[in-house]
Formats: sequence, C-alpha cells, structure tokens
Amino acid sequence: MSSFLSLVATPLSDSIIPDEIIIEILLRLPTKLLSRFMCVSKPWHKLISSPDFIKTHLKLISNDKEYSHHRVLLTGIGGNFNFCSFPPLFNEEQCTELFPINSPIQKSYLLSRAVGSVDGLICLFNQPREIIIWNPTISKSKELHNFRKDILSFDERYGFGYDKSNDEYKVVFVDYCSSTDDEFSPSNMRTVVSIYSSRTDSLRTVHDQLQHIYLVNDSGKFVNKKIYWVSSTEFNDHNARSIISFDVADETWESMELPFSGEDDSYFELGVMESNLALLYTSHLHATTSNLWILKHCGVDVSWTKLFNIKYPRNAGGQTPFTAVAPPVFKGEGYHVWDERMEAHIEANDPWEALEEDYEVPPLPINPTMAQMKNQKEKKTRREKARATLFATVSSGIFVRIMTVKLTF
Amino acid sequence: MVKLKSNDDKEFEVEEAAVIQSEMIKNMIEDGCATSVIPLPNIDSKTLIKVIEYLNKHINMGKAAETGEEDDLKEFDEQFVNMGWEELFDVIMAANYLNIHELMELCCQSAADRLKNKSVRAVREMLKITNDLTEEEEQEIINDAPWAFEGPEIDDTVN
Repeated sequence: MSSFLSLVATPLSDSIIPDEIIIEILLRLPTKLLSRFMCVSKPWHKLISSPDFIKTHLKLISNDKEYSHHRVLLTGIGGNFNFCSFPPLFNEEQCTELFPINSPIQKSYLLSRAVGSVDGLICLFNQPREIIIWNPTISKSKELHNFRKDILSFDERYGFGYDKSNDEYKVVFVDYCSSTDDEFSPSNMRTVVSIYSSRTDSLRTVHDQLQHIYLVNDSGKFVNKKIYWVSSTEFNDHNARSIISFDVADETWESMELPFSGEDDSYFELGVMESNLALLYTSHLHATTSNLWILKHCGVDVSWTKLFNIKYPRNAGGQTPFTAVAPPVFKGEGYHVWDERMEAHIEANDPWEALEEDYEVPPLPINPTMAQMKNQKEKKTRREKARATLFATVSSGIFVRIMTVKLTF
Repeated sequence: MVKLKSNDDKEFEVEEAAVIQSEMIKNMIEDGCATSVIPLPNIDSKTLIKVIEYLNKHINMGKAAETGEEDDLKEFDEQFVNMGWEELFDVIMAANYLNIHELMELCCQSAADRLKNKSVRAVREMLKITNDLTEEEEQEIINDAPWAFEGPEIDDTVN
C-alpha cells in the first residue's frame, strides 16, 4: 500500500483520519462506488485512478474466497448478453437471476464468442471481424481495428492472456487460410498467427508457425502465462493428439503430451482449476462419466494427475452433459482501460466469469430466474451441463463444495 | 496481566494472552518495555474499553475453529461494529495505533459497508472532505461513467 500512498500529496480528508486508513476502507469498495467517488475531490480522483491502487484493489477482490464479485457472463446472439451471480450456481437451494447487460457489440448476426477473460476484462469476437476488449464492470471497451484485416480466414482459433512481467494483455488469433488463390482446402492450408499487445497497442502477424498442427478448441484457455489448446495433426481432425501452448510473454509455441491417447471420437476439453490447466476427458458422446485431470508444475517438471471422475445422471436427456467448450475462467476483475484522458487504465471491478453459451436457451420471460428455468423441460440437462462446464473452470475451494453436493465417486 | 492507561488517565488490566493481539504491545513486552503501566496517549477510555472487549472475546481465536465457536465470534463481531460512525473511527484509529490486524479489518470493512450506496455529497460530509473539483471537472467524471451515478439505491443521508 505504501507504494501509492506517496501519490497523495494533499490529504484525502480534512479530519485527523490518516490517509492510509481511508485507503484501507476504499480498497474494500466495489468498482461502481469507486467510480462514483472519483468525484469526491481531486486527491480522491488521483488515488482511485492510480494504477497501483487499481492493482491492489483487483488483487483484493480476486482473492475473495466467497466469490461475491464474480459473475458468469452468458454470451448471446445479436450482442445480447446476460450475466448472473456466481456463488448461487453452487447452491441447490438458491435461485439466481439473469440480468441483461449492454455489450459493446452493436450489430451481430452470429453468436458472439468470448475469446477469453482475464482480470475482469473480456475479449469478444463478433464474427467475422470485430474483436473487442471489454470491461463490463465499467462499461468501457476498445475495438481492435485493423486486426486480421487482410486475412481471408476459413476458420479461426483464438485466445486472450496477460503477461504480468510486462503488464500487458495479448490477443492471439490463429487463422486457417488458403495459401493460393484457390478455394480453401486442407491441402493448400496456411496458418496465419496475429497477435495484439495492449501495452504498445500494436498488431503483429506471423506466418509459417504451427505447421501441421491444427488447434481443436476455438478458444484457448489461459493459465499460468500460457494459452492452451488441444491439437490434432490435420485440419478438421478433432481427435486430440497433443496440447499446444502459446507463451504470452515471449510469444513462443510449445507442444505437450496428453496424459494418455484417447479413443477415436473422444473429447478432451480444457479448463482452468486455480492456477492449473485442467483436462476433462469424455470417451464418447453418450458416456456417463468424464475424468478430470490437472497439469501440475513442479519446478521445471510438469505432470498430469487424475483428480476425480464426474458421473452424469442417467436422465441427462440422452445428451452428453459435457459437450460444451469449457468456459474461460477469470477470477478477479480489473478496471484497466485505454482511456488516455484517465491515464491509461480502466478499472472495472467485479470479476466476471465468461461462459460461452453453447446451448439454445428456450424462450423465457425477461429476467428469468433459475426457478423458472428449472421448470423448463430440459432443465436437468441444462443445469447438469452448466455445472459440468463450470467444473472445468472453477477453483478447488468451490470444487470441494460442489463435489459434496453433487458428485458420486 | 498487563496494565494499559488511556489518555484520560484511566487504567485497565488486560490478560497478556489477550493484549498480545496488538502487535505494538506484543513487541513492547518482548523488548521488556511493558513492566509497569503502558500509556496510550492516543486512545480515550471509552474507545479503550471497546478495544479490550474485542481483545478478550478474540483471545482464543485459534481455538474457536476447533470448538465450533466460529458462529459465536461472527455474531459478536456483527454486534461489535454496531456503533456510531465517529465511534467506529475512534476504534479504527486505536486498532491502527495498536496494530491489531483483525480488528482493523473488521472495522474498515464495516466502514466500507456503510459507504456503500452513498452519494458523493454524503461521503464528503461523512469523511470531512472539501470538494476542490470545479463543476466542469466534476461533470467530466460523471460523463465518463454515468452508470456509477445512477440507480434508485443512492443514499444521500449522512450516518
């Protein structure tokens, strides 16, 4: 805290209350309040806008054991997004309400996708070209103009990550294009990697990387400085052969073995558990069990450890609960912005969990409650699916709770 | 037992196990500087009584988890912070001076909770702050985040 105390040249209050105490109190306020209280006085404005204060605040809120500031974001069609509070999802008795939220996407004909989320910042991809970094807590966003501008993409993969050493966010897109003027075909496929860096606000395009590597999941999972994808060796081959990671800091790619080679037509889904990469294996579409593995780092060694099995209920509706792409997780929230007037930061504040909505939600009244959703015919499937999806992403503290409520071993 | 003296010359005896929750006094005891009465020139007796009440209740904090008394402590804490705004700050200042981490956390959280939903005007008054922003500057801040100044829940009362 002392690092930014020196920022406050003029006392924060005319009373005898020391600045350090006022700062202690302010750090406990949600972002909305801090945004409002910038208006209290010049010293308050300066303090609340300072990057150090913002970072300290983010850290405090991210470490909140109750996850009271976390949100799950449900991306939708036409830029219509909803969010709900995070903790009630893990409590059978509690209902949670969905709230609509204004997204920066103005026009959309397809499903908007979450490229990823870090510290409360969400990177959105609105096909075919629009890529936006959005801080929903403070309603600020930045569109990445000219990113992938001249690329005629047949298919794309993407990820969003943060490099702590340089304090920068990066967006990476992998586009599969035709290498000739002919139509795209796997034989003339060429891979183009585009990288956006927030610190320098710059774009970079790299060719000839990832030869003979095909990324299976759309959105890479960011954990521990790297963005991970399941990969295969041929275009459109969805059978996982290995895991590919992109190091956000030095922008290098690395390949890693799976804990075992799965059967054909099996599913390997990536997720994040605390600061570990998690892998959920489902042997086939109608399987009733998935196995969850995590990647443990021990010095330079990495090893896969099987944590537990998830058994799906019989009445899951004849559909594998876990066919979803595991949503990106992000605990913490930030209010970083690119508003130059406000000295380069945004801050947002409530941590969000971006959850890709891959299933159709039947028509519901505006602001449906989970109770209403419960009554829907497919409620079971959906809830199980949502739960399974969340399994792959939440941290272990919550895991323990879910397991006691729900899982059988 | 350790003797504490408030700035209005009242003396209080506190068990050592309770009082060492204060890092400051713990250090004094370790350095052998707590042989007689410890004067606390920044704390009045009314506030010191509150602080001692807290220290006595939290004396066996570590044990509480084992014996299932956590709920009891939680209830005590909730009741404890149920005090006036000025009084709360007296306790915060005392906790800060004595370096009692948990008490500081508890009271700062309570202060933060009371600021939730407050209007800018109310906060200025509650924390005695002179507004040195011009009307234009203020408007600029509001325009930048209008959503932060909206909502039916904004509370303009000062308490």
